[in-house]
Amino acid sequence: MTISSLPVMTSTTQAYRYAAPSTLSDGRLGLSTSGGRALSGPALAPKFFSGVVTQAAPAAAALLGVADVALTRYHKPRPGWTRDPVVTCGGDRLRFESFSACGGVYARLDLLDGALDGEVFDRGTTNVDINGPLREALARVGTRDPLHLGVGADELTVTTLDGAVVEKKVPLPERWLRGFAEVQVIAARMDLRAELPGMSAVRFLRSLPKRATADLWVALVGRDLRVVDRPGPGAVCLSGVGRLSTLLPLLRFAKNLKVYGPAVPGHAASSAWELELPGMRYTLALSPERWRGFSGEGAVLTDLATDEAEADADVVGMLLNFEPEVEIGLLADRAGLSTSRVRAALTRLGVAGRVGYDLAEAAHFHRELPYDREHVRRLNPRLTAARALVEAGAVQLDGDSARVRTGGGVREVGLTDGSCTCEWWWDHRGSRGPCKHVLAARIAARATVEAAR
Amino acid sequence: MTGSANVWQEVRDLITDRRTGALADRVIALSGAERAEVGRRLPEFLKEMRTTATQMAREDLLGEDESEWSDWELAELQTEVRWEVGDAIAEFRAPLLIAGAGTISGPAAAVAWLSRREFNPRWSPTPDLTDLLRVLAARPADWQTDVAVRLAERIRTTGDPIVPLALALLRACGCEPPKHEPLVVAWLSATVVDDDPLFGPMFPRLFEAEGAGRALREERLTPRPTPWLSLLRRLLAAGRVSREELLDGCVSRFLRGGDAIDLRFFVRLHELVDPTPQEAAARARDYLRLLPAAPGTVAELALAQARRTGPHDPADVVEAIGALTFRAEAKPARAGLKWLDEEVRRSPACADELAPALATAFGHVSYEVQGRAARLALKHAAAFDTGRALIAEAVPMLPAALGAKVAARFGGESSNTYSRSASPGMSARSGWCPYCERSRPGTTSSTSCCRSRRSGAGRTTAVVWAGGRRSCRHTARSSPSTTCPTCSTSGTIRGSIRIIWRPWPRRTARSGTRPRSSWPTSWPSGMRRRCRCCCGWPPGAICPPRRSAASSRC
Repeated sequence: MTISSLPVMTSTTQAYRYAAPSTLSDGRLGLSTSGGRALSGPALAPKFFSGVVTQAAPAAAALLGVADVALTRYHKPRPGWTRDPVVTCGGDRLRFESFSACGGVYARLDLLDGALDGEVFDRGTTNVDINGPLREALARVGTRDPLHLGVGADELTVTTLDGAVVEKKVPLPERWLRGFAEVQVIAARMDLRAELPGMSAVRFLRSLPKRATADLWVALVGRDLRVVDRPGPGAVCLSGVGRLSTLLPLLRFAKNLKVYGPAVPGHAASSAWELELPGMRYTLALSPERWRGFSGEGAVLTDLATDEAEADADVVGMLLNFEPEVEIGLLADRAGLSTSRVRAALTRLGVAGRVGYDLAEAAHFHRELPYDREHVRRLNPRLTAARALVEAGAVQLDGDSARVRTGGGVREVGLTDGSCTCEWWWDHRGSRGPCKHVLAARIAARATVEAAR
Repeated sequence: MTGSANVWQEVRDLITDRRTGALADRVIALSGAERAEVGRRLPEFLKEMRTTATQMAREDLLGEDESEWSDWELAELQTEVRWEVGDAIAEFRAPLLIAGAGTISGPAAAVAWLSRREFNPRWSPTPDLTDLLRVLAARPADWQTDVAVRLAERIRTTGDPIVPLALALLRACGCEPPKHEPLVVAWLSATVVDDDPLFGPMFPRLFEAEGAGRALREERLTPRPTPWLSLLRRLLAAGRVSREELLDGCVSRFLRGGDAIDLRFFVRLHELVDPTPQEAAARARDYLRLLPAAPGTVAELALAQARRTGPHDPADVVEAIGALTFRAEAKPARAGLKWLDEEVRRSPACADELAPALATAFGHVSYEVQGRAARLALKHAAAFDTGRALIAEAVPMLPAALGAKVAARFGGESSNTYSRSASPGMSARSGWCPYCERSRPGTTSSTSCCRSRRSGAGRTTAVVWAGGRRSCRHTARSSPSTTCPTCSTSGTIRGSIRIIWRPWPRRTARSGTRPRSSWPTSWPSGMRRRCRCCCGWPPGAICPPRRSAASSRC
């Protein structure tokens, strides 16, 4: 492993080490890989794929989109640290993922079977180097240019691997890393809200307000998407129109646009936008508001608070095998667990950055984020605070309600509806998951039930 | 020991007296041991100052007995105490910085001292750095370089209070500035310095750093060049920067992407250099690649350069024309059609390859572009062979009148006004009436019912979209009333010649219209169109600009 993570308060430092910078010359795109994980285990510079991309221009443009998202800070733009995209080889497809510096936009490019023609060497996940000259070269790729893609070191560079040429050190804030993992769990709870054919998608995306910070709602009216001024049934929240900007250069290849939103509308919520391109899919997931990252959404705290999923997650985690599509039924059979327990385990694995979610297939896929994941799970602040409350004996259970003593006074927690009398609950009303008092009360209540057994 | 204690007392007095000039002289004159002693005592002294300031502020604000304040008052007063202490320390920041810069031995510790938030409050103006730089210049060269680089790497935004010191120090010690993008942006945002020693190493980064273009977005050439552009012009004239450097930098910056504001400076710089045909020809391929996805201003520039060079590879031309007609703006689309016209006239054989580009233009949002595309299709109809089918397929995207003309030559089904506003998918479902189905479930209705209505009225009527909602048009044939008898919504006649599609609420337009209650209750039966000059008055009412009954013609 070449990843060294030094915990410094709520941020670690990520060191990417590449044998050589990624290059594109004479139609050969060589993406350098940093340390990651392959089927065989941790790998220094894994080699995943070598072959021809049959759709050169869309692939290059979409790769640029992924790189742009990694480079951008959408809320209060300013230059700063950027983190390299992550590539996952799942056998028949390549997935490039990136997460914006502001932690509010997630982008993924799925290069599917139809766009790839080549040899797969291994399955696994790693970081890929994206640099300025490569971005220029990708922008120069035309429709008829041939494009050969190599993910991982060629034999040529393997010989010089002992001295890493490119080294980048970037701070890895905990909230960024947690958001990157948590977006998968949020996406797994989304439904398809609209589907537009190519020309309608083009017309709709171009008709959006030019102001990048515009917040609006989008709903299907007839067979077209329309901008509406308030949430309604089936409406999808689009906060910060400018965050969709990486879709615009891809419109000329667009075959289809799909919009996903969470099942319960009514308040600002995350959304996902999936553009189908020839042989590939480009997906953007946006956080509920421009200034809000994906972390702190609390979508997963309830699942994390239980200890039963822990063992299940270990079992399920061993069966994943970098599968491009995880079938829950099959996994349940193999693990000998019920489907609901497998789902809970997948949520847990998602938070740990070990599975992603593909909206088009409505299935999880295995990928191991090449970061220090233990650090993330350990430092889930709300859960840590809740456990501290339980350990301090601050929770007093009383039937369906509980009283939690804190420094700011006593909080009344309703166990059935998960409500609380704290200011945080008053502000968010469950839109960002349970507060630490509710979590503490639930943990305490579970402990009592287990003790009674 | 007493000697060094005396020195410390001396330095301490100079700090408390805030005599920065004398302090700087004294610090420079310190011997090695004295320097170490003063450096060791400084943090303690700062702590002592803070304790004293806190005590004084507490006595001042809280009085003797704290128990007389309530909890919330106490919390507010504590905040005020913190502010007071911050202000008190900031008073002494200049001498403290000088003392630290002259005595702290480790570069990391020195940088930590120099960039302390206490000494760099956001609200204060930039202090006079002369004495501080004098003291820093007296330190060893290695130490200076190390401090300069570390300090520069601490810059996060252009507004960071350490920016002036970091830039001054980099200039003074003449070392290679670290590769740090916020530093480039901060350098660009600061005042332009003549004969800047930083210009050499920083100039190439101007084209690479994220945020550089945004920092220079207000730079312009007219009426007279602003600082950076005029500096670059002077350097270009003096031969200190080459045309190639500037052009390559601009083009690579365009290729790396960004929005119009990010690239505005580079567009103007490109304009300043004004490439010769030879220079443009050397970069022709890059210019062609910019056409599809670059922001409007960049695409316009790239198009101008691509058109003055050539001949290009025919396949590249086809791709470029396709990219232009696909663009959302009308201007490049028109330019693309013009280019297409020239190409087809030059060699009619390439018409079929250009048919997809022409078909794309049929679906353009601009009516003018559609009209031009339709005219071109008719003009070169004889040249198309295999492309005929493509063009015929795209005919429904044209407005009805144009579509009918093209369909007459190429075949294909001309659309009506309804399906133009609706999605292509909508027109495919011919049995589905977009108006009646949703509001009148249970009634069978189809496009034919709307057609008959339209033909019955003898005019093309349509619906105004407002806020994404359709207004009811069932009352169009019956006498108008405030409530529609068919769908029980407030019925208004909103007929107009073309469908006006508004994707979001028309706030400005709507505020200008009259409230519905002031509309007349009876309308002349033959008039269906809205008066267009006063926007919102129904026909028959008195139109204020014309002072006569409103009609479709006014």
